Amino acid sequence: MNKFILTCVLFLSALSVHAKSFVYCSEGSPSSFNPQLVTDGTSTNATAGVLYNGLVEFQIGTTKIVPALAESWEISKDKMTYTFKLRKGVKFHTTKYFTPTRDFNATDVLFSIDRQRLASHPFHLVSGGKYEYFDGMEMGKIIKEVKALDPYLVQITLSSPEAPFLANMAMSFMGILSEEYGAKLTAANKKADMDNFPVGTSAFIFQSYAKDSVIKYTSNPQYWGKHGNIDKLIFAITPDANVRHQKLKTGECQFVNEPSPADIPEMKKNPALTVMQDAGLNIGYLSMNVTKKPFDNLLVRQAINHALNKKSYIDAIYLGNAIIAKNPIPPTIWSYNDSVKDYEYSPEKAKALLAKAGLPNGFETEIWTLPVSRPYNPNGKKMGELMQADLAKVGIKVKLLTFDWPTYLKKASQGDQQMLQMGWTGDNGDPDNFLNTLLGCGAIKGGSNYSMWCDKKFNQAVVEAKTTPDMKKRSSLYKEAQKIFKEQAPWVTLAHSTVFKAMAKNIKGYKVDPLGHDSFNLVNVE
Amino acid sequence: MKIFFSELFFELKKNCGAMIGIVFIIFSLFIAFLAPLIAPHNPTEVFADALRLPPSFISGGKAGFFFGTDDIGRDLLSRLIYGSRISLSVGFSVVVISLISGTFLGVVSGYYGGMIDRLIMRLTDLIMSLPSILFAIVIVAVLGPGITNAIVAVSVVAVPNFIRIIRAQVMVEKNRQYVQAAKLFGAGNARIMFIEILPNCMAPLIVQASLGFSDGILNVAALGFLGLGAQAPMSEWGTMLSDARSYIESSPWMVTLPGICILLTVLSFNLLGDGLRDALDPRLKKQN
Repeated sequence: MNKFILTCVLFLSALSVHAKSFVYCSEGSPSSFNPQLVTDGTSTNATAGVLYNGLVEFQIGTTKIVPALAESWEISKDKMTYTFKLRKGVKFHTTKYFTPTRDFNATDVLFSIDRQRLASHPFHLVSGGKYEYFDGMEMGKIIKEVKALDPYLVQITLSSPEAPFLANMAMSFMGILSEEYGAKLTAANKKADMDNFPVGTSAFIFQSYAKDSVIKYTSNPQYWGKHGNIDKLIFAITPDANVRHQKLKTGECQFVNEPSPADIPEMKKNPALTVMQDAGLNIGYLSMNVTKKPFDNLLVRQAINHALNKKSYIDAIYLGNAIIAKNPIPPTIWSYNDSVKDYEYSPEKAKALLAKAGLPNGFETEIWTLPVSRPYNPNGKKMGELMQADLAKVGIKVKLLTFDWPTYLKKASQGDQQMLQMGWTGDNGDPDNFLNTLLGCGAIKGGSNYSMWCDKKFNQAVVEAKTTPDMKKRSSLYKEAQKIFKEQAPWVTLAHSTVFKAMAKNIKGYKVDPLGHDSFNLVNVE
Repeated sequence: MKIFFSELFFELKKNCGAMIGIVFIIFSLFIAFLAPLIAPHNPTEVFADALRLPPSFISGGKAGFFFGTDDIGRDLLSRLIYGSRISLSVGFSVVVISLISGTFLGVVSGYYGGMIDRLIMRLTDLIMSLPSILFAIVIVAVLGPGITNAIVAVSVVAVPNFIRIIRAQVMVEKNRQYVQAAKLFGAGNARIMFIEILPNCMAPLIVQASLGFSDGILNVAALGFLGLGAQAPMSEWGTMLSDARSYIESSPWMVTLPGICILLTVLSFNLLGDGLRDALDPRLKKQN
């Protein structure tokens, strides 16, 4: 017992001496510690953000692609072959459960990509064998072959030219896992540990994890890249936004994720805090299921576009921290078509259109409201109530429904809904990531085209743009696609919101990432 | 019966708390009935240019909105007034449903005894062994959220209390001489149970009903708070409370006002219930 107390005292004093610990109040538990298996921001922050590197990465705070585990790369003339020259001397993490005996090399790259790509890979079925991102982006189809030319040269051959390929490679699910660790776990018959006890190459090393409570990391002294001065990184899992705010105020954490918009003015007033903001790379929208009556009628969809007072949503739901959206991509993405004209708020026009569609007295319908708070829609329920009031003015009676988040996504992919609130934060800064992923015909089967909208002309434009290397040509194709989208109105585009991050004053060097992830590699605690 | 109530009222008048309770209940009944006349606005009407206004008597408030507006610009006073309609009718429905079913089961159980009694008692044990709000959540989860289902769930949870009280009373009464006399006159079981015995068990029932009223209101508000009760755009107090939670620091009145309404209503029913118990207890003793 005495020993225990002594250890506690030593531990506490060690904590107080080490002022360089950094507590991050995150909003939830990660679903896995393998970035290949996760798609949500919460899990990505806890895995790819701190533990893993890809061959290429987005420069922190931008969507510019920079070298990471690959020092350089060459793209063949036909845009079909990518050759990556790997960085030498990169060490995997040394942890309690694994000590690497060799540096990072091409076998690790093959191991990581093939695990997701090949059903025959010994690790493919570990943790369920579902690679949502990899499959959702159709990477399996895009990549024809991955070859190691020598231990530090990897060649990836594509089955057809793919303009956003390099951006895809920079996404979190392309993080590189250790092949040597895999071999060790296979020998010990503990393959599942790969996804629970992570070994990566990035700035922080995994220490421990208690579900719904805390994740601990220490800094990686052998990290190959630039490094801030954090020694201990702690994720304090705090689902309630009000509690996160209180913890930040009392100094229990130095950084909070997803602060509630209602708390922003108070945080800004507090001299001990810094609030950073950035135009988010996101879109919040109301999707109408075009396979359900009466939304198969274009006039009805346009009527609903006219009936909703978006301006009032910006004020009430986003508390002014958003701009009205007219296109499905935010204005910070290239190829944004500013000449598209939005449907203006006008209940009269909406009524006229409904009458023209043969529904002068309106109709009854359902809206599914977003059950979770997301930057693109901080309060789905309240927004639903506003929509209900707006639509009642033109005679449409709306019932609001919602489900828990996993059920919501599952049912929505199947197309059970009539109208639903949804949104998207871009993953790689490419318009393809919005237009094709959310509205392409292929995405109906993939489950992310919730409107079940398949327009031939639109689809042709986005598919052609994807396989065209010429930037100018792509841009004009995407602009055309946005025009078709607006005319056909499968969504009501609502808002592009501003993303907020709140932290203590002594945190320096943090940059807001337009892709919505948090990285602490360059953060300094003063 | 008439004498019973006039005596009851005489006893109640001596109890200050109970009188305050009654006055407030009458006041809220009045408001609930006249809601469309009193409320300054439609409770679901959205004023897009009046978001999160403080009450008009605080600086920053607007004259048209006495208690201010909520986060999407609806008049709080009107919502609270219409909310009293929902809360009172919810309390009433819960009491009626649980009173009728609880009384029936309790009388049957106490009068017949034996297997029927054991069956009904084990059922009440089962319901009472679970925390009431958790059990209500389970029921609503099965039936689906909504005000009607919330009422059903809360009523089911309240039934065992009525069964137990009535059963105990019936077991005492059924051996009394007037029951024996009725039997000798050839009265059937149904007549003895509901016409002879039941009126003599009224006193504890009245107390339990008035307390059940406040439990019902509180439980339905709790379900509303958890998003399982009244659905938008209905202005139910519990739901209003939960919606306003995130503004507790920036706009405290939004969460305070529905909370005060729930508190006052529940408190007044509890005061009334306690007063009734005090008034009825000596009477029971006199009878014995």
